[in-house]
Amino acid sequence: MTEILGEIERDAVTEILNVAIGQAAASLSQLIEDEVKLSVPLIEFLPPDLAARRIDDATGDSDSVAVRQRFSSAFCGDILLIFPESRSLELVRSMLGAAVPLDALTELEQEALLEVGNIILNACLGSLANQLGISIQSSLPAYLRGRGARILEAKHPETELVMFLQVDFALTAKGVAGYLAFVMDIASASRFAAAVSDYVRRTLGG
Amino acid sequence: MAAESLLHALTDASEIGIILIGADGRISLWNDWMAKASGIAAAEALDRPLTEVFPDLAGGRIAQATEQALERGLSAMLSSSLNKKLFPLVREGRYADSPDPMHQIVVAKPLQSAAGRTCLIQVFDVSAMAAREATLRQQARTMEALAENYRLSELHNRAIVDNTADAIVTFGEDGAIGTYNPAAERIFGYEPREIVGKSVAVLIPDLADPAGGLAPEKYLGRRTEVVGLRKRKAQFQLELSLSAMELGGQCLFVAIGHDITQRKADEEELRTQKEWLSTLTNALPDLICFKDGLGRWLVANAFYLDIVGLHGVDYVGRTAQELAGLSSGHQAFLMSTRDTDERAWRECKPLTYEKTLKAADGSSKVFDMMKIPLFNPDGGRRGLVLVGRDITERKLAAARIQHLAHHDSLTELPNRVLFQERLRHALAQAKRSGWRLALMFLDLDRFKDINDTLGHHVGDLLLKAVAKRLKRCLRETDTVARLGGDEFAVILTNLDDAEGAGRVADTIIASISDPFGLEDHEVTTSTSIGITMYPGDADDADQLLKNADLAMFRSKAEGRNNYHFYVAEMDAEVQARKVVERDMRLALGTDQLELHYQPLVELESGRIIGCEALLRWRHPTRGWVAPGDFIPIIERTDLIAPLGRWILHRACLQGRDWLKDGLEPMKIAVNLSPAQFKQSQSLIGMVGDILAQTGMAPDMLQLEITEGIAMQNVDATIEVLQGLRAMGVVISIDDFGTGYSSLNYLKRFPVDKLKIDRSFVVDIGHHPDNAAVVKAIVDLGHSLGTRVNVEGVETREQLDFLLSHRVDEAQGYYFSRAVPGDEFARLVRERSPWTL
Repeated sequence: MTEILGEIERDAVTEILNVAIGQAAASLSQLIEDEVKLSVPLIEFLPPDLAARRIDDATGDSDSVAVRQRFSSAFCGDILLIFPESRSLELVRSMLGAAVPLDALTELEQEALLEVGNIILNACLGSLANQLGISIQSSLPAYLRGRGARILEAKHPETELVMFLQVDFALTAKGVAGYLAFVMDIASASRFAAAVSDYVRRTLGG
Repeated sequence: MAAESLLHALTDASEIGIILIGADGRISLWNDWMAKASGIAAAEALDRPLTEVFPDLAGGRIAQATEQALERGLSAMLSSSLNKKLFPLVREGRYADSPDPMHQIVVAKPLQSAAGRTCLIQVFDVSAMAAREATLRQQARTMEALAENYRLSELHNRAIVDNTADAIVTFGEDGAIGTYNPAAERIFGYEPREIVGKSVAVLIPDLADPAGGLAPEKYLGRRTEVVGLRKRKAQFQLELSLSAMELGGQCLFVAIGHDITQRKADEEELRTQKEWLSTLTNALPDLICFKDGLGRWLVANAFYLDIVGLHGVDYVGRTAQELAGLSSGHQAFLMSTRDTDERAWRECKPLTYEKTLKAADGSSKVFDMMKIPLFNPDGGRRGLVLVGRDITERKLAAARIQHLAHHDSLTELPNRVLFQERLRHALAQAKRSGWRLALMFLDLDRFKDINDTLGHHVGDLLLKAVAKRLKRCLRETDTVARLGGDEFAVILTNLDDAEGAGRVADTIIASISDPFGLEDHEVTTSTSIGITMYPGDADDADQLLKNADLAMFRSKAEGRNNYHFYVAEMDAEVQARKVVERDMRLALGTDQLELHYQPLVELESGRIIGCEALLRWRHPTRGWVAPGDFIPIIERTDLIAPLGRWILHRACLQGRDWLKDGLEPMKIAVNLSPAQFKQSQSLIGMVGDILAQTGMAPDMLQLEITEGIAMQNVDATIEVLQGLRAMGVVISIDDFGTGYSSLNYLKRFPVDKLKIDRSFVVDIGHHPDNAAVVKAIVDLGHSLGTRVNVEGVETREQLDFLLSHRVDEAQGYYFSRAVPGDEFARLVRERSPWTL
């Protein structure tokens, strides 16, 4: 399953997403009037349970929070931006410039996190659509909280696949690591892979 | 149309802002909510691009999101939290005139319709939520601050509990230990893990009741001393403060324990020291009192309390003024102590003074008081130490010593020291006043004889009686002193003339001449007085003393029982004596001195059996000097010893020479001077030496002493005479009959011969009394077994008398004067035996 994308295709997706993430970082920087750096160093394809395990390992089996948007195109699925909950607090509060002694996000903070996630996720989707030459629609972002499995909400774990990327935030000299996850069923993933292959071919050929 | 008006009705009824942007980017729907919140009517907004209605939004996130939704179908969500610039909307504030900016969430999502893709923008007013969250945030911060405070407070309390020196142990109703701080660990020795959960009675057995339960009630709310038990089972004194509190519905006891082992030891030590101090101060024979810096009494010993009448009074913490009211009989003294206290403090040094206090037995005691002030490091008064030494005895002794030093113990008259002081004083006064002053020396005539005959005891009584009479003869202002022996001196002050002194001397002489009744004896004596006057005779004390001595000497020389004023001629006499002394020094050992010998005739046989050796001085300028003119002078000098030795030696040599010349052995009589006789040991030694050197037979040497010398010190005389007689020397008493020989003494004297004084012989034919004396002496001598000699025989008549009265030997001009040795030898050869 992990070989659904060849090495070159994987590099291409990483590159596309890095560009998207770069644009998102610029947007965020502009928004909060502070420098935000984002990078996506690695891309993996994982089964949902393994991805969930990965998420929970990062939190030490604590809750994570996620911003999720549904996307639809020739392939469809969920795109998620996931943080360990404690990290999400730091991230949002440092962006809002307010330290609040609460151990959960307030509603407004959730909204803010949603907006941050929305910017990044839209950037990724927009960039993929652009580069792959396809049209991708997205839904409004939703806020999730819980363990990895609940966040990934795999309905058919055996037929689904998670394209799993680590996202590093560097914000006012603080580093926050989160994950970017694309959850698709096999069919969508295949179509995604085909689209990437086309893109690679096009690009190499052109 | 109906559908469109329904749509408008629906959207206008909505409680959110709804904007629909058409595919061409122009506003196609603008509901009432938007119109109200933005103040822009639908008619105004419709058909215009959003950035035209709100120019500020150009290039902003709303414009981007709208564009992404229209062009790409991406949904977006924007929040006022992150975005500074969303729609410039307001909402009704608390005051109608001041609407608040709206906290909003903007959602842009693509709508797919037959007419193409549009963008639905919804605006949610979340101001209320934002306000709530702001409040929540504030509360959270407050809570956090409180929590921080609590945390710090807890740390603080923990630090106190951990660092206090006292053991802090908490326990429940069952006694189970909860808190157990490091000090408790130190004091009791258990580690927390060993003791927490165990019963507090392990540490403090007193807290347990006999049944093994807990009985903390009687210790609650107060400080008590209990016994603590250390892990190593040692008991110790623990000061326990126990309190109880309710904590979470449970009763909790807090025990604070202070290890007072050291304090107890210190208290014990202090008690011991106090006991020592009090024993010591009470045992001391001094007054002792300690006061604090305000003069309040802290400690006073029993002696002091007794002496100030505070025996049995609780004096501690009271001042002297307060105690004065409680004292029996020493109020004034106690009040006065404040002044001396003050002085000691003011002068910052020990104050010493003498104080006389009446003791309980009524006697006066003198104390040498010392007040030592004590100060704090800052100079404030800390206290005062009083020490009073009883110097009553010392004072009395000092006075006694002073008196003894200045008075004669026998007569209580001033002694020589005080006399000289008085004399100087009187002279100074006389110099100032211009009055005259007389100094008298007097001694008792023949006092030694009285002493010797009646004993020292009677002699002492006589001196005391004389002193009394002298005082009676004088004024209060005059001084009479005893200078030693029987010598007295008198200072008469404020005299008009010398006659006044003469009158006093007359009075004294008359007074002393009256017989003294001393015990069983009636003693008669007389006095010889010398007087000198200031300013006439001399200006200074030393000279006056010499003058008076000379004048007295004159009185003695002139028969005693009289007085003489000093006259300048007396000095001349002294001068003359000095000349004699000097010349004799030069003459000694030269041929200026020689011995002449007067024959001694045995009346029974008429033979010359010996002679008396007599000193002759042929002075180079004065010619022959009579012995009476120089012997008394020499006797008073150190020349008498060598001169006496020379005479004896020369006489013995002469005796030896006569033997060599064929003369039969001659007895040679040599006079001993009083000075020689007094040096008894050297006298005996000298006689022995000379006899040995010259080979003179001891029984040929006859040593003569006058009756006066013999009687001066009877015991000593007997001893010397015995010593001489033991050598075989013959002893003779010269001038017999002139002294006061007691028959009793005479009997004890080892004497071979008595020489009757020439005065009895001179008028022997005419004076029947003298004849009787001579007869009596001869009888006496013979009855004592001694020979009797008479000197000064000048006439046949006298010789006949002596012959008829069985006198043994005679000498005198009738036979021969004293002649040189060779002439004597011829005389013996030619005239002996004498024809009688």
